[in-house]
Amino acid sequence: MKNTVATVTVIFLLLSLGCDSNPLYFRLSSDYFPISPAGATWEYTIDGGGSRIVTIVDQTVVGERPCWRLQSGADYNYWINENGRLEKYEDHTVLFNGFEVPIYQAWITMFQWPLANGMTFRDSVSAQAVSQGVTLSHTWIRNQTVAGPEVSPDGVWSDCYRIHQEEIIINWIQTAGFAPETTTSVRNIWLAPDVGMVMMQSADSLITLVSFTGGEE
Amino acid sequence: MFKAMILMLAVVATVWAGTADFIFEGAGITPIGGWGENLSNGLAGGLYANWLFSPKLRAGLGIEGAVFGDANQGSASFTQLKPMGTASFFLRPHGVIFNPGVVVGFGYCRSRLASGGGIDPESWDMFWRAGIRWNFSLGSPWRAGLGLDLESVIASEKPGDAFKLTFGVSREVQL
Repeated sequence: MKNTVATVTVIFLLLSLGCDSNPLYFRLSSDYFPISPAGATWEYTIDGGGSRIVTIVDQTVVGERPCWRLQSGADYNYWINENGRLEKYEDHTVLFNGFEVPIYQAWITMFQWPLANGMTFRDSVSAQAVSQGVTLSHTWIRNQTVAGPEVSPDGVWSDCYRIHQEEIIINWIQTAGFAPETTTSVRNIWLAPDVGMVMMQSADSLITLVSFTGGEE
Repeated sequence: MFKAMILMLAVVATVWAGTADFIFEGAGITPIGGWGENLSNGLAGGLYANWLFSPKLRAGLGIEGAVFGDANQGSASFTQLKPMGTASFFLRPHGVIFNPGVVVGFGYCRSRLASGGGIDPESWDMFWRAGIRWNFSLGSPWRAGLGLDLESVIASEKPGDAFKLTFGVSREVQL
């Protein structure tokens, strides 16, 4: 009996010494991409000059679904965060003869909650449209990998998840003189708990959050 | 470290008792607070061995495992493993139908999140629980107990609180 007691005691002592605590419950309860309420504003600086302001404008309906409208510079984009997933309204166009030809519009899942280190997402779209008698084809592939938790590169935000995003777009104007045109963009996005995107790094730009104001519920 | 010493003392103290009570307990767990927003309610199962200091007072060790699924038909799963020291006090230990009691537990919780093919770093945190039991006889030497527990994983920055509904079967053994 005494041996058993000693063994159990040693196990508890080892547990108490070797335990690795991290704020897992905090991360689970945090919103890593807040898209409400209206009025919330993120102000970013762009490396090399300039700034970008992102604001939650209001609620609206797009593609027959209620969503939140965000303004980023002069552009609007639309988001839904419900049922454990963040969805973005993708509006893809192909430039042909000076016109932006709409080719694909739909809600696509951006992330599934909760995020975890090593999580992967892959989304792809293949679509065609005919404009001025010419067939335009469009292929879009997005691969995302989640890493973390980690501190943002500027050292300001802890418990961030880094999203490594690779986007491949292949547009093909199927007429004489045109070949498939492939564009690949790679970026890293750091998401902080209850703040959202705090940093984005791509081959030609680095944007960093300088201020965040939550809106009023 | 101080709390580990308390556990050690509780274990050593049990050496002097002569009757043990073995319990298997199953439970449904409901997370309290935002940490369970994307997780379903959990299921838990635990094994406990208590020594009887007196018919009313008992203390011992136990281990419980709990698993939570994804609340939205996704691929997330969350698991907890809780080795703990426990103590309980019952008012009418030989009551056939109604033997009310209270239980407390203290130990460590290993928490692990897996989602979308990824796994977050696991966390070891201190943990406590307190609850009430309605204990009754199933025919000697078997007894059963229904209970409600409030428990909390004392994690950094935000605790993992939960509410638990339990049903357990126990048997006393003379050593």
